[in-house]
Amino acid sequence: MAERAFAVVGLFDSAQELIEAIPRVRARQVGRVEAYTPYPVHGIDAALGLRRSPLGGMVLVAGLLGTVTALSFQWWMNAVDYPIPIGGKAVFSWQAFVPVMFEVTVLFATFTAGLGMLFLLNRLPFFSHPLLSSKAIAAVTRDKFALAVEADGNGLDVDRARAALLTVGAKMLEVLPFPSREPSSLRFIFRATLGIAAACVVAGYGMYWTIKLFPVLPPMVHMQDQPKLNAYKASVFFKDGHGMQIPVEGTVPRGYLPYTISTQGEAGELVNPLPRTRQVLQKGRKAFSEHCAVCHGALGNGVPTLTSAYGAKPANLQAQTFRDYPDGKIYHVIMVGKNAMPSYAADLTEDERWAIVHYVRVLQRAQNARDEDLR
Amino acid sequence: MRAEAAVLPEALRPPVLTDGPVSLGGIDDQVLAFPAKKPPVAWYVAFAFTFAVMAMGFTLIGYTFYMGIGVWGNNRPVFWAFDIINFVFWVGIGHAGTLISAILFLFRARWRNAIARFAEAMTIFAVMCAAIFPAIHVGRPWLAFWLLPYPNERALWTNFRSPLLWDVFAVSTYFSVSLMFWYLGLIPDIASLRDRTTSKFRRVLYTVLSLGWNGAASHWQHYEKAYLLLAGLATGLVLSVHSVVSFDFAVSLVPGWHMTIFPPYFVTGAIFAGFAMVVIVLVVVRETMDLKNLITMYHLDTMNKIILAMSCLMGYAYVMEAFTAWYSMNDYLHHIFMQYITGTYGWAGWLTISCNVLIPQLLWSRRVRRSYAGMIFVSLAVTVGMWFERFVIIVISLHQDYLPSSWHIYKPTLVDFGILFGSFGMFFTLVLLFARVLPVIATTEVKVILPGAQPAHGGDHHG
Amino acid sequence: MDPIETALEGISRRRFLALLSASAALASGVTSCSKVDRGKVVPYTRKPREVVPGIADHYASTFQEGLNAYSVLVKTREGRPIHIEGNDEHPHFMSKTSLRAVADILRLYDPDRLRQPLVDGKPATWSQAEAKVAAALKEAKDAGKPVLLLSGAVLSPTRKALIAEFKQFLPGLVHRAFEPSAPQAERIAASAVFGEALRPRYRLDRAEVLVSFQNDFLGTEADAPIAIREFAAKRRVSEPNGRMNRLWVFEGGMTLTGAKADARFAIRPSRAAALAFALARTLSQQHGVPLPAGLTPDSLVAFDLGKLADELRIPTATLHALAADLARAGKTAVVLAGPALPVEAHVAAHLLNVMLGAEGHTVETAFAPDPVDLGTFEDLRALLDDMKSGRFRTAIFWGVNPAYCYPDASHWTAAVGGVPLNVFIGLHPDETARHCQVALPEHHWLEAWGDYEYSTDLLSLQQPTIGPLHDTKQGEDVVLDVMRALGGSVAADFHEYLRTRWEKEVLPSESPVSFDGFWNAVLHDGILMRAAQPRPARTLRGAAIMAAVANAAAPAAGGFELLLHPGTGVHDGRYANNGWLQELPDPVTKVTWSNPASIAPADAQRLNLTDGDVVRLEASGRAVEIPVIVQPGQATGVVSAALGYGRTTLSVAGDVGVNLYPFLEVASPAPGLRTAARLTPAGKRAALPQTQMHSVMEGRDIVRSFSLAEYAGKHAHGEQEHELLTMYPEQLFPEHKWGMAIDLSACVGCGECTVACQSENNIPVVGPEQVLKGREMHWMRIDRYYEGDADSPRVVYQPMLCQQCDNAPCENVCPVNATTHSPDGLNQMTYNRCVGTRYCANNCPYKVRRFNFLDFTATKTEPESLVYNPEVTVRPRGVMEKCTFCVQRIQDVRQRAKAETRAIRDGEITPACAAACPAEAIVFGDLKDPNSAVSQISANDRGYRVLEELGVRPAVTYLAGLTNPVSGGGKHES
Repeated sequence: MAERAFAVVGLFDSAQELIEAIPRVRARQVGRVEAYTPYPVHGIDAALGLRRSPLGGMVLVAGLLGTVTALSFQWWMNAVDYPIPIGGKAVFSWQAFVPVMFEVTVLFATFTAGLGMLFLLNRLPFFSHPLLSSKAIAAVTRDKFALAVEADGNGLDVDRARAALLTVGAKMLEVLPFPSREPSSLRFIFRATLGIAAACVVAGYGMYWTIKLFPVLPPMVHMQDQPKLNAYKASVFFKDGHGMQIPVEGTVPRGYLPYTISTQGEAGELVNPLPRTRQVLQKGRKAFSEHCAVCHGALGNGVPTLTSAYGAKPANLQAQTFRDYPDGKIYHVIMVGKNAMPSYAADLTEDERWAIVHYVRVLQRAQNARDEDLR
Repeated sequence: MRAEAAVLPEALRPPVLTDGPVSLGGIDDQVLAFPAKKPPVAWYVAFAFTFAVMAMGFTLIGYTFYMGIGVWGNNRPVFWAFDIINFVFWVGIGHAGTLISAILFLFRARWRNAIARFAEAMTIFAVMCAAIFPAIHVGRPWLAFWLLPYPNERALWTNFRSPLLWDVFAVSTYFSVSLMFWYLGLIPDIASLRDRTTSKFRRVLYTVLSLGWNGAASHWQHYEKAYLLLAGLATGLVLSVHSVVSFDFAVSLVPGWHMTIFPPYFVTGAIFAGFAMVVIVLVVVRETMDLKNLITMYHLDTMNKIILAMSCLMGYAYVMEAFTAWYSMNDYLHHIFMQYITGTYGWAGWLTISCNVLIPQLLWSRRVRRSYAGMIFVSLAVTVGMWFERFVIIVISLHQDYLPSSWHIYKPTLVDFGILFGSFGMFFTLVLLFARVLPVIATTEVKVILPGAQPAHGGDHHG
Repeated sequence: MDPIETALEGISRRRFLALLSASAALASGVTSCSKVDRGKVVPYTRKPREVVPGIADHYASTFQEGLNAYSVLVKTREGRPIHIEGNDEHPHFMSKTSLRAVADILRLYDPDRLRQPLVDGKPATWSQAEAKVAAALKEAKDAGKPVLLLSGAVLSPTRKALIAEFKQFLPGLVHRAFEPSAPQAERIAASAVFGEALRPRYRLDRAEVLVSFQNDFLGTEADAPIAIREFAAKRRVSEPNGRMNRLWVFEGGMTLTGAKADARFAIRPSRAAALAFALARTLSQQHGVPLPAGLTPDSLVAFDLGKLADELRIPTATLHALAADLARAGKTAVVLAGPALPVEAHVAAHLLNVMLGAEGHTVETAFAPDPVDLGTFEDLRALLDDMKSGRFRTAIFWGVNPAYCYPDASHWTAAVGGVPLNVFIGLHPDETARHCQVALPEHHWLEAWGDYEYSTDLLSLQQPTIGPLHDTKQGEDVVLDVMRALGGSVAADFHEYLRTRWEKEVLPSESPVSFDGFWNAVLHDGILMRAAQPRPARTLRGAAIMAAVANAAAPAAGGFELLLHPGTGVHDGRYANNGWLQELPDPVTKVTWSNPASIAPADAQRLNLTDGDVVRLEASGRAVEIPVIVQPGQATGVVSAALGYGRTTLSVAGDVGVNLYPFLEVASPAPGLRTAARLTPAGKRAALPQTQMHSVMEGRDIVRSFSLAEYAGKHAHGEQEHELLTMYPEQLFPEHKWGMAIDLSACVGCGECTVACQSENNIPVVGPEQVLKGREMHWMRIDRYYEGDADSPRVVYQPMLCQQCDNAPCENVCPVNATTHSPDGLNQMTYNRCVGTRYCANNCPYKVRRFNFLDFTATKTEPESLVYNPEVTVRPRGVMEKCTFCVQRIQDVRQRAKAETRAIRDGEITPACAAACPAEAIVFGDLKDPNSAVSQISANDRGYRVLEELGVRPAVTYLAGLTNPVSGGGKHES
């Protein structure tokens, strides 16, 4: 048992006695000398020959890290990732970033000071420290001052230790066994991190579902469903359930004079208002290929891209009859339809219709090019 | 050293910090016994009351949440009222704790050791009360978390030019640092609790909370270093927090808000109000928990002296405001200042001045400083006065700004008052709980300053 | 009675719908828990040619209010009207219109509308209801008993023809048109003096000197939109030596016109006539302006300018200056007498106009429409007597509400009691409908066909912009149905009737195009100009003058003079159920949702009254309790208040304000003016929901205004502007920099911009309680300040909207980037980012930001919500909002320009306020383009920016207001 001992502890009644005892016990060189006190007794670290605490340096570094972090994330968020002009100020208006920089500095520094001290320097928590399970501890955390001779590299000679303590007048000596395990704050930190990570995952899911379910309950409705009728929206009010209503029969909105020409003859009088410019022809080609080509074919030669399967016989616009059509007549057909062809009035704007007329002319000319065209 | 002490005049002689001899163990028996004891009936009554008030407050918050800010009195142009007043008020209350535990620690004012623990606890509770208001005062509280700069589906970040965002960082930092500070102080005491408790459950609990603290000298060394650093950092922090809060106003261009004096002015006010609150609570604790020998008249007297000093500083700030209003030749500012003292809410201005400057002057008298009635009266006055000072700054400045066409009177609703009282209910509920569950006095720190505790320095503690 | 209406009695509709929608929302929330319901897409089954989903159409149509027909342009989206502006083709309205026309779109979607026929208060089908009516009429026809048709003013030639035709089928038909706000005295005077009651058109575009006796032609008068435009055009002076008209106003209560006056004098309205006659005498004696035949200076001997000056406490010199001014102006002068004034005042005004030669120049009757057979209150009394005596078998009330606006309620009840069958044709289940056994729901004008005669040379057409929302019919169709039931073979519907009549009567005989072409063209433009024979000039009858002289001589009896005028928003009460108009602040008092009695400061002091004190108002045997408001500039001894409030039906209109119709004197030709009224404090107080509580500028440089002379003096004014230093880098606006210029010299403060903005931007109505708390939501407001002493103050107006500052203070303080700056200089508000800290609003020096303190929109359901503009977000509670310069309109134009690969033209973008402003005081455009109108105007040396010393760099430039006081006269002589 003796060799297996971790330490021998003795108690003193006052700090005074403890301070005086320490050098004498150390002089005996029986093992590492440690003191346990109810409150910080000053001068004791000198007596025990402890090194200065490195905490200051750690905190300084952490603090500076905080400053840099704060500055950089503010700069990145407001000036790089999503720069928005605000109040006429520069996207990187560093003056406004100072307060947050200060706060983050303090945050980093304090947590380093507190947690660094506990976990890294004092290597807490250490629940299996032998003193905690000793008789002495109750007195130590109350009003007694304990002096311990602890095992160093080459074990501990219990008897010499006891003797050393007795000679300096320590009372209630006690032999402490080795702790069941080494102190390992690293393990603790690892576990804590795991725990936090787990908590984050849980919280994240919680958040996800909350945000998914919650917002649609009043009053937390976002603006996703506003009490207004956009195009194509259904209506609970109108009997047909359509938000979009048909204008009243016979009304005339601005820019939409009704097409009153009934016969192709009259229509023939119409003249194409558009000039034969490149833009117009391009417009015509676009509209033609979108609306006409499926039946009349890309060349307007009645060889359809789609409808042949259904046995439809679309007109061949290259045929002489159509080449002889006046512009107005083609326009008329687009407006009112012909045979199986429905009216395209609603699908094409006025300009598009006339542009198509031009384009059809181009197609016809291209398919029946004269020599001078080729020259 | 002791020899010198003998010839020192009374004023300079280190004061006796406890009434009558107190032994190391005696403190434990006196302070650490409470958590084990069963509370008296009076405590239950008080707790029931404060809890009920708190419950009412939260019910009204729920009502506001559902109906909207419209159930308050806020209007155009007074878009901020009780919500922000209460926020600033409570953050201010918090400052006393940090000041006592940090700044006085740095100044080696040893008397603070006995009251530091309680003050720190009050800091934390006050900041908790304060934190409620920014969250509930927004129009869509369920989206308040958008104030946090987290990567989101909107691919949008927060605007770091806004003082409100500085608040978010300042207040959250302040809370976490205070918590850390408080907990560090608690560890040795919890260790003592651990080693004196008989109940198994409590023992496990205290063991975990104390992280297996064993009072090794090598630990104490790092511990003290950490405590010193924390005190230093917290000092800078406490000064910054209320400065940042004051930026909410100083940075804006509202006449009456846009003033450079605001940061120091706010910090002073915060400490002022905080000390008053601490005095009120300490008196109650001292009486009900019979800690007269540890929290002595000397403590209260010193607190009152600080209150007096702060009150004079406040007076100076008010005078400076008046001077600025006159000297700046700024018509808008001048108008607002006249509103402070003569306008519809002029009474609030005068109430503020009398509560914060005139009444505390009573404390020049030693008799008042050392009489419960006196100090309670003054402290209550200061608490009321400081709340109304924020009312003056926020409501009066807003209700008549640049264009007279949009001037409008502000009338608070019952909901406003309900939530205000609710926050007080919450504060005192937490105080009551704390008083029964944790050591209300930092026994370790008191032990440090007991006569003969530090042989290295002739028995006195100079840190 | 509408069953819903009955169910809702007692409960406010707003509250009811709140409950309804709350539960609905909860339901929808629960059902759509897992994911947000995105609704379904409902396309057209057959897409009409003229509708492109997402693109607005515009329909020209016409809106009738009393004796006026406003030609308007209706903006529709997917066949649903959402906004109304003036018809740009109309030669006089020129794309401007009345603010009530703009707001009336809300009445189309009003949930309170009568939704189906009611027989004895129970829902019935049309066939049942019409059968009942037809039967009664048949019986009456067989029995040869007369039938009464009481309708609103008939301005429609076709409706006139229809009624004439109806008479043929029903010989006993007695038709009377009745308009409670019709200018009775004016018409009586006109017929007395000239022999015919024509309504002249006042050509203010030709007028250099205007004298108004209690005539609010810039405010509540019917022709206001035109008057304001023509008046303002002559106030917009860009250099000091520019020509500017001068306005003299003599009135009892403060009106918009008085507020804009260059010289205003508070007088007892009853003395206006005497003053006018005195002026006539002075003109003839001292300025050699000849009196018309049959009049000698000594016939006016009773009126002495000096004596009157003493009586009215006006400097004599000033009145002489006025006379001189008139003489100088000659035919470019115009004298207007207010409709409330007694006959003699109008006669005197006519006399002056004739003397000065204004008659025929600034007072034009050449193309005045035929006088409609319009009844006075006196005529209405006679009809009610007949009803009482049981003369009528059936009475049809078509678009009129005598139950509300006939002064003697008991008489009315007795009258309807005396008629076996009362039929009501109208929009709402109103007071009259409640007394009728049969209530027939009528189309809103946006659902109906019609035509109107603006003047003999100008017709305008009305076309429906949406199918009937409810089971309603247009009144004319009911008449046709009845005629058919009476065995007539008539047109299938009024549309056809209208077309056939136009084909017969209106289509020019030698028209080159087919009728269809012609008809469609007129529908397209909305108006038809046609050649018409000008009327011969009117000749004045001396005798009529002499009669008036006799009445005018004697000063009025003691006691208060009570002056009743139609409300700015609610007019004669027909719009009382329109939330927009109820919440539109009265331009003068800034009071909403109430019609307090305005009293003079002196009287207030004497009776020890302040704003909101309730008084007991007594006149001609009637008494009512009404709150007062102390009105600077109100003539001592004069009480004025608005009609149209105190309705007893409908959820919005009900119990808002006090009904003052009982005070109208039925027998008097000028029922709106009562003498010997008494005022006694009732010892109570009532809340006055005002949008502006403080009316003094506190010596701050907010609204600048100076006289033309001073303008010439401070021509160097522009140099005083000092550019403030800035720490910030200069902002670059790559493409455009939108800005606005507002000419305070042109702005008359009518408030039409507010209504247009409300309609365009889905701005909610908050109700009186919230207005009292200061939570109204108007993005565009008009600030009104008084200068000088309370008895004769100067009034200045300032439209205030978001100034779109370059260095916007609101943006810096928003923690969530909800309000940011756009590259084209707009201060944007992203509603969906806003969490509602309200910091931006605190930091806005102009206080133009509005916060949704409560949920003002979620309670809106169809049909109410159909009025919302699809292009603008409907903001829920907890969100900040503000003027956006109508960014949706900017984007619309920008997209068009892009599609047409061209630049945006100057003036192509007009925000709703600018488009609506009848004074054309608001100009919008690109400040980067130095040639744009807005740049030019902003550069004017009257230009300044409000609170620019704050360095926020507003994008809105105000042009200092100008006044043109006569030197050596007027109250602004300095």
